[in-house]
Amino acid sequence: MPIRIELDALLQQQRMTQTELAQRIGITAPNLNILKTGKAKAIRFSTLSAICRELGCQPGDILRWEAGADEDGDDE
Amino acid sequence: MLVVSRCVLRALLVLNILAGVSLLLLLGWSFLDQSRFLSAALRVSPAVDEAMFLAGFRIAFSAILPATIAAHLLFTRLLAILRSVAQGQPFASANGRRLQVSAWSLLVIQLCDLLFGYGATMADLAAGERVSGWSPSLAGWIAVLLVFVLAGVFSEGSRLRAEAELTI
Repeated sequence: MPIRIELDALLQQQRMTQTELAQRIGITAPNLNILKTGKAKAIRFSTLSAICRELGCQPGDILRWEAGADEDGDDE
Repeated sequence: MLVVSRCVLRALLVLNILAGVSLLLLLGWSFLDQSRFLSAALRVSPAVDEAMFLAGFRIAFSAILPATIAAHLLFTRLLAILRSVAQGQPFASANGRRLQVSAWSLLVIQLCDLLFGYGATMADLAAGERVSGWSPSLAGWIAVLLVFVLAGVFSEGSRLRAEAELTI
């Protein structure tokens, strides 16, 4: 997907691990990893909202559009 | 019910091959030893026109090989779908493709049925009576349409499911 989820810098700022964030927003660590690696097809507003709440950020801080990535889905 | 279906399909798979091979041997016999074949056939049905009877028989039985192959594809795909149901993963894109192959196989079987009917009618006319028992079937054509529609619905459904699974 050309949309990337950028979490590493925000997690570092909040001194939070990926597993901890997954627990706080109520999804599994593998699902959070699917989000991070760009394999997800869509993100629910509720998940986005929970990430923003826990990391104290706006959606625009974590979503990034990347030119050249596969528009149809998998870029593997 | 799934277990029964699986057993029936396995039995049909074997019966289809046996019937296909037997009927093809019969067709081969009609070429290899025509006079003995005709005398054996005419004991069952005293044909009026031997040449027409033989031509009708051969046309009808030329549909056996493609029909047997199509039926084999159909049964193996249905067995694969049953396996996926038993594994708890019926809504996979592979099953959409299997249904599509099943629909094409059913179409081939229907076309073979028409060819068989043409030859059988020739043999009936030659024999001067209805010996083949063939009659056209509308149900088969409706089944072809139904399975094509189901294959499309299934493919779209499995695509939506895959997308939902990757919605976080």
